[in-house]
Amino acid sequence: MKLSELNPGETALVIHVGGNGAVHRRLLSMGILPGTVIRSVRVSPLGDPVIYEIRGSFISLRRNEAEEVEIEKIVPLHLVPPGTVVKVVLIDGGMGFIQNLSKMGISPGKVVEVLRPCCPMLVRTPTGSFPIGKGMAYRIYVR
Amino acid sequence: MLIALAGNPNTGKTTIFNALTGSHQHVGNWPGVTVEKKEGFAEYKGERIRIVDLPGTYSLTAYSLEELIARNFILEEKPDVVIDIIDSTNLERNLYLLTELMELTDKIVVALNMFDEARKKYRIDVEKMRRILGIPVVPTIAIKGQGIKELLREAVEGKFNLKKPEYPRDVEDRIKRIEEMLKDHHLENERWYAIKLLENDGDVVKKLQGIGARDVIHAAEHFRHELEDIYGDDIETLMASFRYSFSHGLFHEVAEPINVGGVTITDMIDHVVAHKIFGIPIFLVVMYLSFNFVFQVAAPFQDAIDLIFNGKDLSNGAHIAGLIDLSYSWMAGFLPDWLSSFINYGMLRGLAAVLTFTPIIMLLFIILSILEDSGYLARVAFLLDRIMRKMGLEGRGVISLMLGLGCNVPAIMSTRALRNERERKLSIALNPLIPCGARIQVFAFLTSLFFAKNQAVVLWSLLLISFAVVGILGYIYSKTIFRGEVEPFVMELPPYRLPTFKGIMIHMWEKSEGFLRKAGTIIIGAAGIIWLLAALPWGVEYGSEASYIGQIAQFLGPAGHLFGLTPEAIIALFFGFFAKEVVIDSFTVLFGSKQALLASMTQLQAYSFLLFLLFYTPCVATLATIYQETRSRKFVFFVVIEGLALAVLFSFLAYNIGLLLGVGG
Amino acid sequence: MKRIYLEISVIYAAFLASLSLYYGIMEILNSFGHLPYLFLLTLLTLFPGVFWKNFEKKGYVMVALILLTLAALLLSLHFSGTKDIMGGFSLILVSSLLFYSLHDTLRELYSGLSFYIVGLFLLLAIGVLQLLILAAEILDYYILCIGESCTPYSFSLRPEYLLFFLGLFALYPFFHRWEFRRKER
Repeated sequence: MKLSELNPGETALVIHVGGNGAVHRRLLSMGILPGTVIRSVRVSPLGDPVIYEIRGSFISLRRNEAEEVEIEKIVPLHLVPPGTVVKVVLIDGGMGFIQNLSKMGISPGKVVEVLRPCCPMLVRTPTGSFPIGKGMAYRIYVR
Repeated sequence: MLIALAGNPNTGKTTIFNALTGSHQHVGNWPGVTVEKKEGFAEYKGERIRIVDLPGTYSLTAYSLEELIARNFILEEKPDVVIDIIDSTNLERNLYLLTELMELTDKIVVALNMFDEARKKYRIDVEKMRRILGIPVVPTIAIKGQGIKELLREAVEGKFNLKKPEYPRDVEDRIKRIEEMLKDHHLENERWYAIKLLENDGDVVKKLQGIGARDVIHAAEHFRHELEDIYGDDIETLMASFRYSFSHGLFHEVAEPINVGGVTITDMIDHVVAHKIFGIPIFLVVMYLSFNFVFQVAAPFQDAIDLIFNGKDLSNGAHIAGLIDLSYSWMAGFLPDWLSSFINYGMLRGLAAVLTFTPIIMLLFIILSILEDSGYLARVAFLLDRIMRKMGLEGRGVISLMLGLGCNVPAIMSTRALRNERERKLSIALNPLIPCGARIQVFAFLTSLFFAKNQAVVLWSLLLISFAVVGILGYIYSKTIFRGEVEPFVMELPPYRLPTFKGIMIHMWEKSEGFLRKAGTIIIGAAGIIWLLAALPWGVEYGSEASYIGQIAQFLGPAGHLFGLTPEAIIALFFGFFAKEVVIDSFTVLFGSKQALLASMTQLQAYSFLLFLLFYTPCVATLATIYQETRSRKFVFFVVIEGLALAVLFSFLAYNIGLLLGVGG
Repeated sequence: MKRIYLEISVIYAAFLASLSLYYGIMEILNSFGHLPYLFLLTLLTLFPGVFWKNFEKKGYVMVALILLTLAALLLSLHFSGTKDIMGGFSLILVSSLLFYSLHDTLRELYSGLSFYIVGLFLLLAIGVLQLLILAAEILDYYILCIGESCTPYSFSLRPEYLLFFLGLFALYPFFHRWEFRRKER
């Protein structure tokens, strides 16, 4: 899937950054790299540049630039409806945060089930059921 | 001692620069390019410290002019300390530049700017950051002047024990080996050259080819292919990923987000300002308000300056002497009459013309700084990018074009907001074709006379022709003369901020001062030349048919006939070169009464004249500004020719088609 | 407790919105003092009172709205004509932003506050600008008068001045409403 196909409000994981020369390097220097989380925020009234949120800043890309970025759609945990079983893809945080979550059985590749919606939400993991606060749920991405 | 300021755009770098240097600063250009260079001096314990503000960049690749300037400055001038100014509300992205700087130099001071705002977003552990990096880290709030003294102190006295970021083992090994090979070439900073060689950085490769390090280049190429095979991605992506993973890790070590997922005020405003229906109307209203602000509020100041210099003709026929008149009669006591009137009515009047421009320029830059500092300008670019791209410009280009309706001088100066050199030149080339306030004034005067019944239609037709020409020419230019690699439009949208009074005033003064000093001298000179043309040969009546201007007009008479231009109209156009509103004055001088003017041209001739006036050579002030901004005589010449060609084309077409159809005769 | 501020701000926004709509139209058409139109337009002020089911103090609200409508009628008697198409357009834009804000607020959507912020800000900006222009005009008038015998400057009141001062009052419930929203989330 291409970044330009992402609808406003949706989140994705960057797989590959294409483009040549200036476009390629500019995308990279803004932090659009394989493995980063990117969120489509807002489309311009005339339909072309789109604002994306990446690494906490807001960046506008033209459609032809966004087409160079290969992505895979993911969902932040807080948006997952109860009763769904999802696979954790990425945890956005420091070492401490990642360790805390892995103690609960949440780490990339693990499968979890959402029992109660946000927030605080209740999640069943391979190790048991845990309440997850808003601050955490926003930083766990699943598929 | 020399300190360089580096950092991303929109991090408050300029504010810190201003706080450090106070009024001891100098604004110029980097040699050979239109990128602004700022230098200043600060004092610390009696030591004079030179401070250079590097262009704001996101990284230090060889791809853009700004980035090349910044890194070459650090490489070649070897500043004693580089201060990296970081927008701490946007820590992760800003740390990327730091990782690049750390490869380039050891002596870095990190300024965590906008620390107060950042604290609402994360808990930042400054002490830990200092420990991890091994260099001074100073939280600052530039707009309140906090942390500036500490910044200077750390830069001079701080301890630097930089821990360079390490790449993964297989990359690091290859860097070391290239470093070894580079030892024979007596370069300082081998590690940086090694990394850049590995990255296939065009500029560095060229440099090393220059000193005959072909073997190293080949080795680096080999290593590069190896790495690309190991990791399965291109080298640029790889190196950027490594650096970003360092900044990502550092960010999460030192900052802990609070209030995740909350809606910010920036979100809320953007929801309306970039709204599907309301976005563009809001932009139009903001433009209208800015416009009104600049031109209406400037009016009394302009009139006052005009009054002080030129005096005033009263309705009862008396004349209030202005400064120019007074100095003329004073000089007439000891100078010959021609010299005194040349100095006063030639040069001083030129000076007065410059000064009457200043209120507009100052107010314009006040409004532009407000729009820019508040973050709205970035939204304009976002809103209008699609339309402007058709003309080969980015969204921000629309602002300078619209400002052209007021006055081309500040409009051309405002193109500094465009980061790309090609787009800047394109929008400078298009700008004089937009009728400025002075031309509209002449249009209004002449149309009210010649087209009393359908004045509005004629006025609108002129405006529409000008917009259409600008649009079409922009399209053509961007495909031909100003063609170039399309600059990626990857633009950051900063959060909305309340601009500070001090910041606005500093911005305004910097820019207006440049205009006054540089464009001013050119305008005064040109005013002198025009005066000479109108007053010579010796003894003729000023601006009459016997003067050089009159003779030229006579000479051009037959040519003017093709366009329906009368000799008087040509004289008026000559004076219009000085300032377009002077066309009205010269018509009144030449004809004496409105009836005589009305009788001198047919409606068709008048329309053809209006078209000529719409496009022909921009006024002296505009040309001086174009020269000041581009530093290229060729470009000024191009603008003159472009204007003349369009004027000739349109008035010729209008006049002859009109004659064929038999309208307006 | 804070809900009362939300209700006040809704009522007041409705008042401001319909008043600026009226002035906007009048500036474009250059025909001030057509009271019947004003009357019809100010009836718009009443619409949140009618359509919002969740008003806690509905009786007071209706009274307040009717009083505001009367106030609008009285306030509008003193404006002389100014033809300013873009100026009128700006006011109409402000009013549509405010109406849109009400539209969202009545459906208890928080984006209502966004439109309120921008609409109010624009209204205040227009007001400040017109006041500055007024000052500049007076100054200009007297500068051009030097040496001549002129009559004193005669004011022509523009509706933007009034809207500016009325807009200042709207800031008060705004700050409370902001707090209210923060707590709710």
